[in-house]
Amino acid sequence: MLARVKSVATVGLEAVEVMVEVDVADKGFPAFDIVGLGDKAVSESRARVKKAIENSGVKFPDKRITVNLAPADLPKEGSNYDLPIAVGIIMASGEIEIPESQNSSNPESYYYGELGLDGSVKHCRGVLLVGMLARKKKVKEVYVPVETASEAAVIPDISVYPVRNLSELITHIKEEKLIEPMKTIELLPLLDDAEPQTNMAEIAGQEVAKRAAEIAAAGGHNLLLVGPPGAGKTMLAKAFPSILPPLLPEESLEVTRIYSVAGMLEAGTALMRRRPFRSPHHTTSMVGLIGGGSNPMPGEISLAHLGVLFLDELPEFSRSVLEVLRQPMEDQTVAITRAMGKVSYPASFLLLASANPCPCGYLNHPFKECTCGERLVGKYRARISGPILDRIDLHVWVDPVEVNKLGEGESGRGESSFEIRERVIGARAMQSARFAKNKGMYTNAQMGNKQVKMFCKLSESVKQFLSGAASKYNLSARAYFKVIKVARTIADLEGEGEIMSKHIAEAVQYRENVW
Amino acid sequence: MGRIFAEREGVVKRDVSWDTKGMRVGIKTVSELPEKLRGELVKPPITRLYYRGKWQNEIFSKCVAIVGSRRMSRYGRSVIEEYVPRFCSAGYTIVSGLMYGVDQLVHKETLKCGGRAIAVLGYGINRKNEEEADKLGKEIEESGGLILSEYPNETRGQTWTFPQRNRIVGGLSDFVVVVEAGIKSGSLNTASWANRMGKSVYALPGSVFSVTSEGTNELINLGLAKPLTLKVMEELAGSEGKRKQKNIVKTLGAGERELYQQLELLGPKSVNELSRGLNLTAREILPQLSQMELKGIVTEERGVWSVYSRD
Repeated sequence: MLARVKSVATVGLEAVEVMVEVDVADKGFPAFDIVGLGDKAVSESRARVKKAIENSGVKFPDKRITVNLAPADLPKEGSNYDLPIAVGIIMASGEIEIPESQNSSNPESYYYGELGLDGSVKHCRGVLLVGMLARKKKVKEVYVPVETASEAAVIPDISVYPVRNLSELITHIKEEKLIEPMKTIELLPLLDDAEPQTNMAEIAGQEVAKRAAEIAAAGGHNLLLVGPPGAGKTMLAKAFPSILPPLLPEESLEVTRIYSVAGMLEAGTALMRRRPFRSPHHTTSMVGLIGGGSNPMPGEISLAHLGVLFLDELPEFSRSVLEVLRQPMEDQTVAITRAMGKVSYPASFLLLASANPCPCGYLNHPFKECTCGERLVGKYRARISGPILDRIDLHVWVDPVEVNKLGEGESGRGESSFEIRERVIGARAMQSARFAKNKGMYTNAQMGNKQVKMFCKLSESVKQFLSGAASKYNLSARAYFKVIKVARTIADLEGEGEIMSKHIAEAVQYRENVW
Repeated sequence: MGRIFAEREGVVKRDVSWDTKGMRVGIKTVSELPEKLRGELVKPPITRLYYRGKWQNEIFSKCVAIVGSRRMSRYGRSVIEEYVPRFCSAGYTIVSGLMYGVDQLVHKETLKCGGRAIAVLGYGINRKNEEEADKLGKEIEESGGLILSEYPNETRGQTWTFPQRNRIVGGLSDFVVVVEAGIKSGSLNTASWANRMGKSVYALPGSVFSVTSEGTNELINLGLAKPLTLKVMEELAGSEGKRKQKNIVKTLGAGERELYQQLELLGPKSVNELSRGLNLTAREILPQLSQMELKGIVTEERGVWSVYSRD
């Protein structure tokens, strides 16, 4: 007898419907074969499925079982086919009575999950994608592991059944005892709940760096912090997510999709509620950063999508690793080609980088001497290439904090993240109005020279001021445009429609002169 | 003996004709040296001097040596940037040793403000050194300055050649300024040569906590050097820069003037310190500093602002 059960394969961030066809034949030697380009995990699923069925109180048929995963030319990998295969075998074997409503010739559900030998259904990555595909294909029911069911539950218009173990599923199919479908999770309240971890108000001093962080958050500008060790660069970076605008529901789904594919969503969480903050160690490889593997997985830059990629000690990263960032920083997406196929992951991140000014770290320190020779410093500097620096709009020197002054001047002067974030949200609103007609453009940082000319009209006096500054500071053409973009964001933060001289005057202070 | 001398002469002869990338190496013997280097206080006497660049006697007429250690703090840097241009505009030729740290910054600042520079090497005149030093040396030649050395060709610098060289630095100069020096710095050696030759030595007093000021403070303490204060500086190089600035300061708005006065009163400060002192936010301070920087009355390096007192 033949049974057909639907499941889902993930290719990059895309999900593809997979038909699991199970044939249990009375003729021939008893055997259990799976065809359809499965990997080792799929092939091993035979042992798991057999024991899981037996341990769920159903007889495993001593017959010739053939399983086909269609489309047969798409490579399948992972353990998530265990559940559909088991369900297919149970249906095809005729060991249990199946009510008319569960007619297997017209499969209306997706089954997705790994089985344990005791029949329990285990955590699997990519459950959100299953839910998204179900909605797209108008499949009404989705059976997923109970641990990750909440991932799919954020998708409206589908019924998500959290499956604890195979025997529960069997009684559900027999319609003896039904599994309660999950309630659809509302996104907005979840997102509003998300509280920042580190508050900007906790950081003493560092007015310039905080201001630069505000501008970076408002305009999506990349930010480089240079300063001696212990100046508070890392702490500032940690507080940075707290001033970013909250995720929009669709953005949240986009981020969650990546984390779901990477299997990095914590069990029980429905979705990513905060903008991601990724801080890879400087020994991270190229593949670790941009993604890869024989079945390409998202790398750090994609995990930082719509959030922050924090590269602490930027010069310590190997140069070749840093150089691979150039293309994704430009295109905001990264295409990875491997034997298993070509996938592209979104990578629209804000680069936040920190660096010491020299190998010993004390160059230009107010009261400690640097022990590095000029040549050593030069060599150190060369580790960050021009093209990477070019893509960073804000360059800020972080002065060391004088420890004895830490306690002073804290009489409510430090703004909280909440206040700063209000301004950032306001600036973002101005930007989305500005770029309403430009698809895929959300922030000032994304503007090319063409858009700068279009959206950042300067009055004659401001133009004069800018050209005065350009000749004083020897600004290159690219630096010139960067200043305008940053000035645009500063004006947005103040709710000004027009860029004024004072905005330019502040923007030039973040030009490329600290590295 | 005579034979060896002849051989040496032969080497020297080749030196003279050597054109290393369009640069001539010249040689001056005792009789051609400036008066200053022939005095009996210069011991051991200088027998010959190799040079690169254009030898003009005027360059030796009014010289100041500005020396210091390789390690340099922000303080030393800001003092060099402040004082070197003032010595230059007072017509001094600036002598130093082309080592990295204070020496190189002194040369760089001299070239930047169009002054005349003399670099005295502690190794052979044709010796390849660090890229940075070689590049700077070339720039000095091109700007009409001089590179001097007692040692021919590619003589390796040794522990004794550097102190030897310091007697030329001391000998050339009317007075010596030690910017920053550790307790074992070679600059102290230059100071002691200058003292022996009866020249004035000025040392920059520094923080008692700073390692790079230990040597200079010690010089002052032992009476081997006079402290180089602003007043002394004005006596030595005049005070023109300041006065011009005063006129611009009058035209400043209230906010800018307040910032300017803070910097003038308390010395170089970062924006964070200014913001704390004046109770202003960075976004209020930064545009004003920019405006003043464009007017040329304040200057910034790596987040630290100071009043700009050049012309």
